[in-house]
Amino acid sequence: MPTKLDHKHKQLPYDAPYAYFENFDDKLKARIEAANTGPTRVWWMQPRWQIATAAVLLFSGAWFFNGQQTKPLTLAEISPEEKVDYLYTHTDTYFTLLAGEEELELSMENIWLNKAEAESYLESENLEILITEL
Amino acid sequence: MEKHSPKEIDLRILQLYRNNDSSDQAFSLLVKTYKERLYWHIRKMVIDHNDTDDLLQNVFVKAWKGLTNFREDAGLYTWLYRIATNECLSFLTSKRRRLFLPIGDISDELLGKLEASASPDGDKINYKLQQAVLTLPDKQRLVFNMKYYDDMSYDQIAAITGTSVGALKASYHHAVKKIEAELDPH
Repeated sequence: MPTKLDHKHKQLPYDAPYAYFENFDDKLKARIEAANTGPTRVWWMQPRWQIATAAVLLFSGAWFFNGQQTKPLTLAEISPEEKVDYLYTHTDTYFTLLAGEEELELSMENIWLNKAEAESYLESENLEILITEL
Repeated sequence: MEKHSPKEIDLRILQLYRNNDSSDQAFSLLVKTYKERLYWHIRKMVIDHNDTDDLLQNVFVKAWKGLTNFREDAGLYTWLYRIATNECLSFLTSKRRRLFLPIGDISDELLGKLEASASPDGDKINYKLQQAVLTLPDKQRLVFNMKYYDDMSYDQIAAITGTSVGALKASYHHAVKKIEAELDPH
């Protein structure tokens, strides 16, 4: 099993269904036509009923989720891999941080890293050296 | 048969579109030109064919509505790729929220889709590689796919994602290291 990525293994391990691309245009056209025609209005589609339904759902959701809020995670509960992945997937934020923007805060779901904590973390992972080497 | 450059095709699409009588023709040419590339771009992100089909249609519906405001500073290809990219990321984010999954767990769902989608006669190495790619976070996987599978330049990827070239190099470098570690954990 090769472990170094080369550019030979680019074939994807799945296919599109037979004749999918040949049939796609007609399917798309039908969808656009259906969207333009619009459905026949029935009583429950009238705005006042939709608003009432939405209000009931909102209140039910609020009641259900109240008290089921997840406790915010602490930085210690997030693995180093997740932290690095987060920083790399928010690479613009990372570079802005290196450039010395004031009042910058990173967020990671319920976690807030202030600038000092983020810089300290980046230093500890030698990420700045990694970027410089590219 | 005369072959047209991408730029010529884009110009033709826009010319046809701006003429009310030929706007349908413009749309047909747009779909015919870009549907396969966009399909594979989306499929590599969401894996499942039915999800891909749905998102691809969304992309073209949005593209059609937005073509009036299309600014020709970027090519149609870049613009469409951007729409498709945003559709994928929104889809994956909303899927994660619907399933109440924390950051990493979407990869299990996608691995399941990969197993269900894989061709039985397919190359095992390519399958293993895809499995490793699916462990990457969405945006990093996106960059990896565009660089490795689509052979895009960093400038092209930057135009699509709005991310700096330096950031993309870092992201891709890190992605490659992670994938190689997945392929050989020892």
